[in-house]
Amino acid sequence: MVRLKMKRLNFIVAEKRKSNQEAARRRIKSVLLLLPLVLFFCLMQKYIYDTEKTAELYVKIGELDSYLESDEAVKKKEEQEKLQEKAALFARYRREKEEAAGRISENPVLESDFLEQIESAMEEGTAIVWEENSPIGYTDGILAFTVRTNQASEAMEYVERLKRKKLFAGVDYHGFERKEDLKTSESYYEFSVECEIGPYEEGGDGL
Amino acid sequence: MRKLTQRECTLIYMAVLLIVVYTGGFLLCIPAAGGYLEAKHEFRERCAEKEILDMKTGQTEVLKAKCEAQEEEFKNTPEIYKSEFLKTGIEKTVLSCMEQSGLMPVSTFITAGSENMEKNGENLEFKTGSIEVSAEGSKDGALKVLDCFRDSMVLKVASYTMYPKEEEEAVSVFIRLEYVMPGSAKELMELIEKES
Repeated sequence: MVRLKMKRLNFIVAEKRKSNQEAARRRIKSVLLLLPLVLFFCLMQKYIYDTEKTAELYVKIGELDSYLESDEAVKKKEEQEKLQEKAALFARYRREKEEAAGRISENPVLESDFLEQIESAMEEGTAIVWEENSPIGYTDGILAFTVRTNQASEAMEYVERLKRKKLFAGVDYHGFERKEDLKTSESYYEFSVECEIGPYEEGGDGL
Repeated sequence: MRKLTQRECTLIYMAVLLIVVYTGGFLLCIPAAGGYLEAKHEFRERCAEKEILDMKTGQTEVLKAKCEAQEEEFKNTPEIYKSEFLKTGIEKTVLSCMEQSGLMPVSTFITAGSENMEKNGENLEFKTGSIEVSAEGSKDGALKVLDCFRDSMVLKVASYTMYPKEEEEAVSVFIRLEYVMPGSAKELMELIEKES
């Protein structure tokens, strides 16, 4: 009797286990069957979302295009371009003007004061030779003139006086020569002076 | 022919579904996503264009005012700067200096040229040349005329010769002046004239 009861109990347990395994297998099968459908559904959702958004964006792009291509916008663009061109031309003009002024100002400038000072530095008996064939001349930053004097030492002293005025970048003389006045038979000295126009430099002759 | 088992049917069903899903994904979703990205990029470009236009429009008034101020300044610059009046402008300036100094001009001779210069990647153009002028007058006048050109931003005295005339007190002066001027002045003049 006990043995019969045990046999029956084993049979029930085995049946129950079998039905549980069957149910688990069925669940897995249904999940596996549903999975591609879920995936398909998700992909379709993404497709719909992308398509709708693309359409929305193209509507917005169309609106922007019509704004950008409108007469008002084109006019604005043209006006802006013209103004920019004009501004660039003005800027170029300003740069050229500054550059031109710079090129002019970097050169030495001959002033009337220089001509006045070369005369004021002369002592009695000394004068600039003032003739048509020996003019006061200025070329390439060098002011040149001829001086006549009664004293031989005056040449050096005159140049020293000019240097002390600190007006020129350099002062020098050359062609010192003793001459005689044919009418009065008096002798005199002549020499040429060259002054370099430019800022005075301590200790430098410049020439 | 034998009947397919349930297991085989299930496997075939899953394989078909997977093929449909992936093919559908490949045929529909990928082009749709690409199209969306393309549209997004295009939209961003248009937005940037609009922003630039709006920004420029905002700056237009500022730029306009700046250009007007520069134009007014240009209109008030001496004629000497304007290439169109180059020869007459220079001659006028030099002769008025002579007159102011009490010298009587005898003759003038102008040579004109142009030169280009590359600076900071920009081609700058200059009108260059020289004017030779001879005049007569007092010695004081001959000295004074130098001060007239002293502060000029356009002209520089390249050579100067002063010698006495036969009559006493009077002197003859020969001056060679060199000039350098902005070459874009003519272009500016034409632009301003065209606009007005």
